[in-house]
Amino acid sequence: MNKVQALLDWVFEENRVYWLIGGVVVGVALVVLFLPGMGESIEATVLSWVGGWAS
Amino acid sequence: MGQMNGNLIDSLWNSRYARINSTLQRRGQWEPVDNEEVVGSEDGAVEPVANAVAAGTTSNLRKVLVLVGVLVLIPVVAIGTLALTSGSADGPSAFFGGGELVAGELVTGAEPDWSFVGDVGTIELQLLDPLRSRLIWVADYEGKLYVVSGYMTNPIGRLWKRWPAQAERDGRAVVRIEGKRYERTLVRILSGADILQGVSEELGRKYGFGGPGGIESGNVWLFELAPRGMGTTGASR
Repeated sequence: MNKVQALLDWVFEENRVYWLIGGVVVGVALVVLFLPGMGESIEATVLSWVGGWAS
Repeated sequence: MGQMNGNLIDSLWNSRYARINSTLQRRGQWEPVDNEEVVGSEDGAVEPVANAVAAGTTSNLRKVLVLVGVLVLIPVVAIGTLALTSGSADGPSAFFGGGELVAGELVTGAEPDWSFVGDVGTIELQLLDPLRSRLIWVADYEGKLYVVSGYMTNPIGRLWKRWPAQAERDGRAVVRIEGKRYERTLVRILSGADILQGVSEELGRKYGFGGPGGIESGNVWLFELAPRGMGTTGASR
């Protein structure tokens, strides 16, 4: 629990959380754009979810 | 001895919550509450304990919620990126429409034998105006290709599927089937019992399609993929 608390404190220190959110957005976008096969993989996952819900 | 221990405990207690309140005050998250038990020294350096604990719990809850939001953001950004970039892609993907069909041999000349389409699940259909492509069901009947669009009497369907109306205005299209491109013209079919019945049966065989009733009622729009340059421009017949 102390480790979780320490992690939370570290993340939310100063404005680090805003950098975290920005980094996640930019990082995910770059991965989707430039990692071969990632787009297809995501779409296949989404389609399997939709198929699962529809069945 | 007992008094000494009591003083030591009070000292440690006050020191601990003095640090908590100091942190909360620095972050602007501490507010004094009336009628709250005050534990602390006379100089006011130590503030209400219950208030500090409650504020700390709220602060942690907020942090956890923000972290959950960041985790939710990951798939949202990924799918959003795919959606934004799909418009410039060479053809549609499984989930999103695409842009102009570029790759693949452009087949010209004599009309092909379309019977192989019976084993093809979906084809890529691109209009010339606008230059957008999508995956679509296909059927061949008596040597001609047909495509359909459903949910056309449903407001959500009309909003979702705009290409049929665009094809009615300008039927010029390119289809890509098994890696080869064909220039076609979309012509909406409204009548012809034998065509409606035959195409419906083929679509039923391949996809479990309902029947010609949907086409006759206007819920399903049926288009023939006619050869380009036959004087047809997406008009109905």
